[in-house]
Order: sequence, then structure tokens, then C-alpha cells
Amino acid sequence: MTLMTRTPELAKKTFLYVALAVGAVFVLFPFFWMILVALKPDEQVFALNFILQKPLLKNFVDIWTNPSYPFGRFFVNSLVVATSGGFFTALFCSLGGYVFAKKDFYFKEQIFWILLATMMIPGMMFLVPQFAIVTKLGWINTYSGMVVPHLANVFGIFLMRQYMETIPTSIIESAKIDGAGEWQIFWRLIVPLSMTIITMVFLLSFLFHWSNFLWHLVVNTPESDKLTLPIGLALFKGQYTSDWAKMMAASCFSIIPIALIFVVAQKFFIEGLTSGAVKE
Amino acid sequence: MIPKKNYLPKPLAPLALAALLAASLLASAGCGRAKSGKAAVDGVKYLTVWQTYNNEEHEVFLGIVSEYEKNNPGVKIKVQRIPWDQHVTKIKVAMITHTVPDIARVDPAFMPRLVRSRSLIDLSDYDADKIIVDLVPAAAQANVFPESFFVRDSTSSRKRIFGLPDQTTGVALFYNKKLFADAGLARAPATWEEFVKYAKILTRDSDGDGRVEQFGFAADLSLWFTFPFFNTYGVKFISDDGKTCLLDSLAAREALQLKVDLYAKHRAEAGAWQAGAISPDTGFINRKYAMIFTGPWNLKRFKDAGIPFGVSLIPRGPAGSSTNVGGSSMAVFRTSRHPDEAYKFLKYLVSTATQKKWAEALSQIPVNLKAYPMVNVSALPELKIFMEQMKTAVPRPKVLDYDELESIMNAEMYTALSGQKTVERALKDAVEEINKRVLNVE
Amino acid sequence: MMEKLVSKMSPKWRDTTVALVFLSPFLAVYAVFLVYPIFYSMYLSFRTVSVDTDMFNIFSDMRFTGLKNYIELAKDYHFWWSLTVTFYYAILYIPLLIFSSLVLAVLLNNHLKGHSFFRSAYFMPNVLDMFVVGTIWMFLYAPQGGVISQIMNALGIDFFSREGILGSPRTAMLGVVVALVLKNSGFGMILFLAAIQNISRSVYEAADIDGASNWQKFTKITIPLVRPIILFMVVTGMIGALNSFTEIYAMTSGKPNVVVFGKTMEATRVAGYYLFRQWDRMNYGYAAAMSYALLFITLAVSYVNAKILKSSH
Repeated sequence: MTLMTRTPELAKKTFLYVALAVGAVFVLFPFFWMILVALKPDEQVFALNFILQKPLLKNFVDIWTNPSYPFGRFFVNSLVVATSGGFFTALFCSLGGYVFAKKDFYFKEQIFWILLATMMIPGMMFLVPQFAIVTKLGWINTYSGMVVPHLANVFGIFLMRQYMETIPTSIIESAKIDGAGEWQIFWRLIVPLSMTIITMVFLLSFLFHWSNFLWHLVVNTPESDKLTLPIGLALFKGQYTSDWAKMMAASCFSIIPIALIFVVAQKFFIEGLTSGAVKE
Repeated sequence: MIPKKNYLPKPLAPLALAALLAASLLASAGCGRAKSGKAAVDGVKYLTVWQTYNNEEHEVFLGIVSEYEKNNPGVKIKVQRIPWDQHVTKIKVAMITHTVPDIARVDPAFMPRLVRSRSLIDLSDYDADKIIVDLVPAAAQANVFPESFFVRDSTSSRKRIFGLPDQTTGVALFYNKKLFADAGLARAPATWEEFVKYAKILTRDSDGDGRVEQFGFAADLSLWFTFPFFNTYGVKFISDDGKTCLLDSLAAREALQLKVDLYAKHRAEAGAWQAGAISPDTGFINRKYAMIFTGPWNLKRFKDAGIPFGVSLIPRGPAGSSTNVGGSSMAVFRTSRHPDEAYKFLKYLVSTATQKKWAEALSQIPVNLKAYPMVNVSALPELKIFMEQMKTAVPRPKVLDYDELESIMNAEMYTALSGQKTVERALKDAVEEINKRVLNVE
Repeated sequence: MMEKLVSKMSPKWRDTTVALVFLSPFLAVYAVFLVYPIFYSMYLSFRTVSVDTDMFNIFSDMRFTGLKNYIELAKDYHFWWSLTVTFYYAILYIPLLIFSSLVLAVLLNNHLKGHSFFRSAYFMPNVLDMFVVGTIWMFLYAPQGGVISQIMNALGIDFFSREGILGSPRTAMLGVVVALVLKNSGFGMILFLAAIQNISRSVYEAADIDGASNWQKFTKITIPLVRPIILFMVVTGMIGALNSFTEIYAMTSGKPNVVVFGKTMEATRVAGYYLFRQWDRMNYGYAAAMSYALLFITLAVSYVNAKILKSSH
């Protein structure tokens, strides 16, 4: 009896593991191949083998120190853009989310409704006018030009509001009785209590700004010293169409840091990205 | 989890923080701008040049620049390198944002638009008309426009010059001598009939697995690389009044049919025109392709790769041997603070001494005709072929939106090559589109 | 001083003042970069860049041409084709995405050892940069020498090496979509997983007692209960298709060309990419008119979806 139930059980388990592994291979193969090719010498990139470059990291060093396409510089730019984008979005959204959650002001629901309505507008719509504004402000080839137009993240406000509504109003009231002003309540009470959602919004915006390809493409000219990784890669791709080993090494600079951040903070990413859907 | 009740008064902290960070972002924006418009505080005049040269050319150009700076102590030249295939878009954006350099190396196909929108300095106000008579006509003429072209309601045909050609190129036939010898061929084909015959012989399945490893010919898709076909058939693109496209002629059909047949009928072309395929240059280096059309910019690269290649004239068609005209022009933008110095530098670039140096260092065709006898061609036998080939080269049609014309043609030629349309249909449709979208726009 | 002033107000006015101060940074960016552009776009859509326009002052030197851009747009078969391509993209992408997400979720729902590892592995590509992922796929798809074409050659299928997946009009869009599905299914998987785990065990146990097979349980219990997620994925998938650009830019640039009703079109040029091309060619007025057209289409799609969602609840 036990044997009979165990065998199909085992077969089922084996089948599931095989299926899961096949899925993982499909999903992760491109990244595995990217790393492998980045470690190969130029003439071996198309060969299905494991012949590696000597010294192993030569392609990475070449890419990092390439004078025409300084990927080291691109990396720093990407980091600055994504970090400041994440920081300011989290700041603006937590300030905004808080008042929507805890304040009772005139036209509150109407304003919130209008904000949510803008989420329906396709991002493409803003390409030309935002470009025109940025040129008028003289923000071409600047960090501001890349970051500021995308700081008003309505989804971030939505997440913050949802979360902060769960903070008991009584705590805020008692802080008020103790003589705390509005700023103190926000910074000393609300922010520490909402660190989870703030981190989440920061990470999501970080990600958004890290890969905000079309916009970075539009507001940078190729001689810009503010080019980010994907744009640098796009220029590199235009110039060296067949230099795949270098191209894959350059791809690693964009992929690996984000993958590492994901591994460390995956809870935030997964919950953050899916919370909008689950709430509906 | 709830903090202790010691609410330190920090009233303006958040706004101050936000303001500080915002200010720092703005400041970084500000200094970005300040840099590009550096003023001549110390009496030195700064010129910015955007160029699009390849690696080898870039090195030689930097040498020319530093020599110029040595001889002209009052001038400093900042060289910015941008990728060729994006430079038109980027110059457009730079004009909108007032971040254009003093001088840019531009595709001559972009000159009509720049001239029409009055974006460039008229070099005939200097002595450009005297300089230009010494330059390769096919390259120089791309920069010359009658006044009626850019002055509204003007009928004056007085010629104005808006740029100087810094480089002129065209393609010729490159062939792999080793692969030719293996196939028992002694010399390059001289006519299209020979070319087709040779290409078929050179296409072979060397290991007998039923798949072809070596192709006789590899072609790029683009119109620019197809001009050798059209020009050897004497095809006229645009009517003299500039209003009608004439590409549905018999000659045009025959020329394009030849290219299509090489791929589809004779199966001697590798399909290198397809997206993602091994490009002609790369395949030539890998000994996969026996013949390609390319220009002098690849001479050094092929030599370095140890390819036993020869260069020959484009095969003769009904109109003889001919080729395309490429290369580029150097123009001065109207926003330049130092147009006089900029023009002086351009003159230096096209001077016989500089052109001789350029030609010999890179085995390229000099733009200055007076430099021709000075170039030591004995060390560069291929260069002689190119200089010969350029004599029969035909310039590209001069239209306001050449990019659009080329992209229409590329798309239509693709449909013909991939067998989705007949050559006749493709050219008819191209004519219709070009008439509508290129020749009759405001 | 300000605190004093504020304390004198009625509570609602007090809150309004505080709200304004707190919201000011957000609203400032929102007004300048999201609200103003909507109106500015409208203004631009009535103007045209001509060949005489001063390129140094292009936005102020555009000519007023009234409804010309909209009329041209209605006549522009490239535009209509780009909408068709966008729709085709959505039709391929959405079902494939839902299917693969659901399969992954069902597989993961068995709580095997290492289940959280697989969950992370499937989800991770979601957070990675689209352009870079697209570039990697372009390399995998390369007609001669790409891994996929080599594997297919070894299996005796030489179609992939002759034209290439991205080089043939028949398969190019499918190639793009497969890359996207593999990148994005982790996201849908998490949604489905949450929903499936919400289904009470007792429901399945009751079905067991009734003698239902696994397949019956899946189609009769699981599918109806995850319907809201499916609808959500349809909506976001459609909006995603209307916004798609980077994947096309990275992998095909809108190519290859294909002949449709005798006209030469581009097989993967979605609406977003066509809009970008108009920007690239400095046709700012035309691009603005096109954005308005896309806006109305998006609103219509959202409206229809909202209706369907409502009726299904």
C-alpha cells in the first residue's frame, strides 16, 4: 500500500522538478549565455563551446576602459540617475501619500482621482512635449533632464496612501498632544513606520530610472558625458555591430548589479511590483 | 517600533534637503552648459569639432589637429567623436538645444536641409570659391547651392558655398585573390556578365554537406551600396526640375534585377543584406565571401587581417564602370563664435599638405586634386584604382530629405530581394512614394 | 510664525494648508511635466515643421496648419498599419504570457523543496533592463552563428539560419514576443500564485470527494477564481502594447519589410516605434497629433475593459 502510493508520488515529484528546471533554463538561459560570451575571445563567440578568454576578464577591462565608450562612466551615470530618481520619487510620494492618507482637505478625492486618471495616459504621449520643455530648460545632456520629468510617480503615491492608511490615527493624535508639529510627525513618526513601503517605492523607481531607455535616448546627444549604460550600449552597438563579446560584457554591467540588488531585496521587488494588481 | 516622544524641532529639514539636492542637480545642469560655450577669457579661441571618423581616421585627425594648434597658438580645438549612423539625429537635437559645435562633419545628404533652414555660415563670403576649384568636383558640388535654393522668391542662380569636403570615397570591387586562384580565376571580372559568371564559380559547398560555405558575392542592402549597379546602367534618379522621380526606367529595372538575380536566381550572393546576417566586411575577412563592394576605409583593416585581396573597378555596365560618391563635408554653424578661425581650419584640412598626409596615412582618396600628383601611389597600388574609379563616380541626388528617399528605396529593394515584389513593382512603388514624401513636401 | 497662523485656521483649512505644502514638490513636477505637456501637445499638433523652419528655434518657428496633421494621419496607411502591428503584438503576447505565467504558477504551487529558489529565478528577468535583454536576444537569434539557429541546424531545420527569426516577416514579431514572454512571465506567475493560494483548500477537498480529476479541478475551480488576474493581465498587456518601443528598438528597429496589399510596410513597426520615428525626423507636429490618436485609443481600450471587468464581477 505505502509502496503503491509512494511511486506515483515520486514520479510526480520528479516530473515537477524536471518541469521547473526546464522552465528555469528557458528563463535564465539568455543571461547565462551573456556571461559566457562576455568571457570568450572574439573569434569564439559563435562557437558552441566553453573556450574562455585569457585573461578571463579581458573583455570587461576593455569595455570599462574604452576611451570612446567609457562604460565605467556610463555605469556611474546610471547609478546617479537611478539613485536620485529613486530618492526623490520616494520623498515626493511619501509626502504626498501621507496627506492623502491622513489629512482631510478640500478637493482631496477629486485631486486623487485626477492623479489616478493620468496613469491611463500612454507614456508615449509625453515624448515630444517633454522633450520640448527639457530643451527650453537647457536640460539636454544633464542628470536633471533625465530624472526630474519622471519624478511625479502617481503609482508611488497610490502605494504610499494604501500603506499609510493602515497607521492608526491615534498615534498621530497623541504625538500632536505632545506638541509635535506637522514636520516632526511626518519625519519622526510616519517615515519610520512606513520604511517598508518607502524602500519599495525607492527600489521600483530606481529600477524604472535605470532602464528608462527611450527618455535617456531622447535627452542625450552622443557627446554627452551623462550617457547611461543602455544608451552607451546602443551607441556601441551602432558602431561595432559584430563585436558581440564586448557587447555582452557591456550588457553584464547593466544586468549583474540589478540582479544582485534583486537577490538581496527580492521581497520588496515582488511585493512592490505586484501590489498594484493584487489590490484591485 | 514607535519612536520615543522626543520630537526634535527640525522645521525646514525636508524642504531644505529637497532644495539642496534639486539645486545640486540644477548646478550639474548649469555647468554642463557652461562648458560647451567656453569663452575666450585668456585670449585663446576655442573651436569645437564634431567628427564621425573611424578608429584609424580618428588617430590621424587628432595628429592633424595638434599640428594645427602648434602652428596657430591662439586657437584650441576640442574634438568630439560621434557615431556616423546617428550624427544627423544628434546634430538636429543639438541645433534645437543650441549645443551645436562650431564645426561638424556631416553627411553631404544632410546639407540641403541645413542650407535651406539657414543654419550654416556662407563660406563664399570668405574665399571658398577659390578653394573649391581645386577639389574633387563630385565631392565639392554637394556643398554648392544657388541662391534660389534657400532665399525665398529669389531666382538668382548665384552659387553659394556652405561647406568643404574633408573626405571623398566611393566603393570599388574587392576580391580575395586566394579564393580566385583556388577557383582557377586569374583576374577580377571586368563586366557584369563576367561578374555573374565568376560569382557562380566562386560559390561552393566546400565540405559537401549540402550547405554553401563560400559565396561569390555579398551585398549590402542600402541604396548607397546599390548605386554602383544603378550608375553603371546610367540610371537617372530625379528629373532636372527636381519634381519627379525617374526610377521606373528600363535601365533602373535592369540594374536592380541584376542585384536581385545574383541572390535569388544565381544563388551566388550570400544574403548579406538581411538583418543580422554576417556583413560583407566581416565575411570577407572570414574568407566566406569572395567579392564585395567596399571603400578605401577598409584597406588597412583587411591588410591587418592578412587577407590576400585585390581591388578592381566596378564591373562595366551599359554606361561603363561607375560608382557612388560618399565622404563627408565640414560645415560651420551660424552660431559659431569664431567663424573666421573655423573657416581657416577647414581650409587647412583641404590643403594639399594635409590631404597628402591623410591619403598616405589611410590610403584614401585625397579631396584636393592638386594633391594627386604628390601622393606616393607606388606604395599604395589600391589607391590608384580608387583614384581612377572616382573619375566616373556619380554624385547622389540632391534632395531636401535624402534620408527619407534612401529609407523608401531600402524598403522597396528589400521587398524585391526577398521576392515579395517584382523589381518592376518595387521601383514603381518607390517612385510613387518618393514623389509624394520626398519631392513634393513643403 | 507660520505655525501660529496655521493654528488659527479651521481644521479643514489647516489640513489643506499642510497638504499643499507637503504635496507641492510632487504637484510642481506633475504640473510641469505631465499636465502642461497634455495641452502643449495639443498646441503642437496644430503646427508643422517645414523645410524652412529655423532649426535653432524649431518649437517657436513651427507653422500653424490647423487640422492638417490629423487629416494626414487619417490618410497615412503606415499609421494604420502600425496600429495593426500593435494589435498583432498584443494578440500574440497576451495569451502566451497568461499561459506561461499560469503554467509556472501551477508548477510552483506544489510547495516542493527549493520552491522559493525557482520563484526568484522566474521573477528575476522582470527587473532587468529591456534594451539589454533585447540585445542579448538579438544575438541568440542571429541567423548564421546564433545559438538558436545552430541548434536548429543540428536538428536539420535550416530555416532559422537562412532568414533568421527576426529577419523573416512571418516570424519576427513572434521572436520579439517570445523574448518578452520569457522576461515577463515571472510577474504574472506571482499574481496567479497569490490567487491560487487564496483558494481555500476545502474547495479542492470537496471536489476530491466528488471524484473530480485534476484537470476538472483546474478548469472548474482554479481558472474561474483567477479570472480577475487574467483580466488584469489583458488590460496591462494592451496598454503595454500601445507603449511598446524599447524591445522593438533593441531587436528589429521595426524591420523586416513586408508587402501588405501591395504596399511596402514594416513587419514589427508598432505604433510607439512609428511615433519615435516621427520624432527622429523632427516631425514634431505630426508626432503630437499621433500621440493624441494613441491617447484616444488607450482610453477606448480602458473603457471597454472597465465595462467587461464590471460585468464579470
